[in-house]
Amino acid sequence: MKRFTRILALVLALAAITAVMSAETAYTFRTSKEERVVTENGEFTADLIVDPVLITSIGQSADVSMLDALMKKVGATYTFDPIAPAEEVAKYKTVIIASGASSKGLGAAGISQEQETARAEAIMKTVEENEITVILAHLGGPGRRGALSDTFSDMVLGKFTDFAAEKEIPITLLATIADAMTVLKDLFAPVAQ
Amino acid sequence: MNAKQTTRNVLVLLIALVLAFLAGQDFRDMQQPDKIYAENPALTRVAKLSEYNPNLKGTAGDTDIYVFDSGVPGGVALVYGGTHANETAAVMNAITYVENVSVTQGKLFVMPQANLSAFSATLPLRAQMGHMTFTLADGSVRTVRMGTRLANPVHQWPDPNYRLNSSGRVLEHGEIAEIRNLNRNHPGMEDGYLVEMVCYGIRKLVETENVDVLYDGHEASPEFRAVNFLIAHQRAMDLGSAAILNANLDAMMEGDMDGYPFKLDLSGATSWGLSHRALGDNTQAMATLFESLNPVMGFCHEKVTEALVKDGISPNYVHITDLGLLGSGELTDAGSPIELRAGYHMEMSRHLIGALGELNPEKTLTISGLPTFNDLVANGFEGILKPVK
Amino acid sequence: MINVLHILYLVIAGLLALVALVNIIRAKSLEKAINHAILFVPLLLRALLIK
Repeated sequence: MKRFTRILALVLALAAITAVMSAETAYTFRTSKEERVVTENGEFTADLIVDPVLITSIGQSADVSMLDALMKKVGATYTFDPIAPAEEVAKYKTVIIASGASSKGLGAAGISQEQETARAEAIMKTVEENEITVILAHLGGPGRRGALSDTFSDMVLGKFTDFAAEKEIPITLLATIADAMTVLKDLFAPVAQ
Repeated sequence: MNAKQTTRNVLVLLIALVLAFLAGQDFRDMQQPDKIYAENPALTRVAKLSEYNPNLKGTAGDTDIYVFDSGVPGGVALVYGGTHANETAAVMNAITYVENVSVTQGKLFVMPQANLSAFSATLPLRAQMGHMTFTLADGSVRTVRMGTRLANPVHQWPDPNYRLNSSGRVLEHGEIAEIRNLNRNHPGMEDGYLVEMVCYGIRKLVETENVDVLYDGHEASPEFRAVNFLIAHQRAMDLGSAAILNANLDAMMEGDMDGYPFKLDLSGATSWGLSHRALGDNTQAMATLFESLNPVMGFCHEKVTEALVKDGISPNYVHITDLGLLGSGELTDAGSPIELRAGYHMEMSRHLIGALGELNPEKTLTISGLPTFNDLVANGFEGILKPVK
Repeated sequence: MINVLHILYLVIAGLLALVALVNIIRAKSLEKAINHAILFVPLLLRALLIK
């Protein structure tokens, strides 16, 4: 990773309560009934957020709408543009990306998968060149149990947590989507003057 | 032909007539309307869908709409179930509203049995259970018919081999019978097939009453990819997001650590004829649809019993879940009881109504009186439903 | 047109039920009588708008 680039990944994942998870899962759930928000690899605090803030999507899933609802709820100030091109992204200092693919979302936005991939690549280049702080939000967690959830956890959550550990990027894991309020409030809620 | 043969043949005919009579009794029983409790003091009036499409008057499609009008300007919502008459949790949700809700700002329309004709029959060879019963604390029994996805062919027959309907959807080949499915024929036709006329009535209700948000309740099999999903028209995405978030926040406040398994998805651009697409595109309302989990609707369930239909208990589907073969309709040994399913509908629709005012204060629709989710699940419908005289 | 077709189909169902009834009476064997009876029941129920 370039020394002038700080990419801080904050992964918000829906995870089942640890107690019901199978012991054979390669990924170990961090959250539990007692600890609903768990951060690893250091801290990411509000003083690292620089305005203006943009929320966008890569993949056009409905998760970006959920993120918008969360940010509205905490009273954050930001611009919401799920299909922001790289040139637009360049105008911001902090970008929150909701990742998740949806053919319906792409269709509604009039974008093909190839165009979205190209847009994602252009955005990645822009954030590096402009030293933009990036927060990656993954809100589409697995169901409560079952082998599919385990597979998902291994593939997706495992990848995120392993990558974050390797690159020493702070990562926050959440028990449910409602727990995102706690984190986003700390980061984005307007401070009383 | 001799007298002996004639006698024998007449005997066969008599036996056939007796069998027809006995079978006919069952079928006629199913055509008897359900008794829905309508003594809620907050109820303003019971409207008929034919008020919005006069062509429905006197037909099997003329269903009841329960109107709760606070008299105070505010938001307007339509909550309905029974588009598919075998998706009972959506019907029970609407019935729960009818029995309990009160409105202090805005207006609420509740329609428990949207495709009324569909409640009078089940599909052949599917072993569908015809009624769900609840024995209340006072010993009385409440019964709700469980029909099927399509209108009764007795009311709408024959199905055309080809129909280009009002949504632009072509119903042909495998979709010929779908001319009797409300959820492929929105926004409907004023003077078309019965189901198209019902769809038109719903459209006119939405337009005439300036409905701001409509909630179409459904259920789905475990195999379905969008169980516990709220499907929202693009204009309803903000509302849907806020509603799902608020539902989970409320759950946390009440000490429920798991929240609700609700997810959001956009209505497909090619979902012609479905309520969330067609009513969203053709009316001012924010159109939404929610699917709860009903194991008996799948193809891998066990013998049809009350435990399967009412409590959603299906060891087959638990096993299939453990094999990791299901996308969203995962099932545990606890099953998917009617109270839980209807409770999800209640929370989802209640929070959509709540979010309406949050996003636009002029459109505040204030409701109260519904049981809490935990009460419904703990006491069951046996403890929540009111006796009907 | 939709109503006309509906009535026409009901009339056809009724006529076919009648034909099946006559065939029951005139059947030369028990097997044939039962075959016609199996056709007769649903046609009758449909013509009477019961099922």
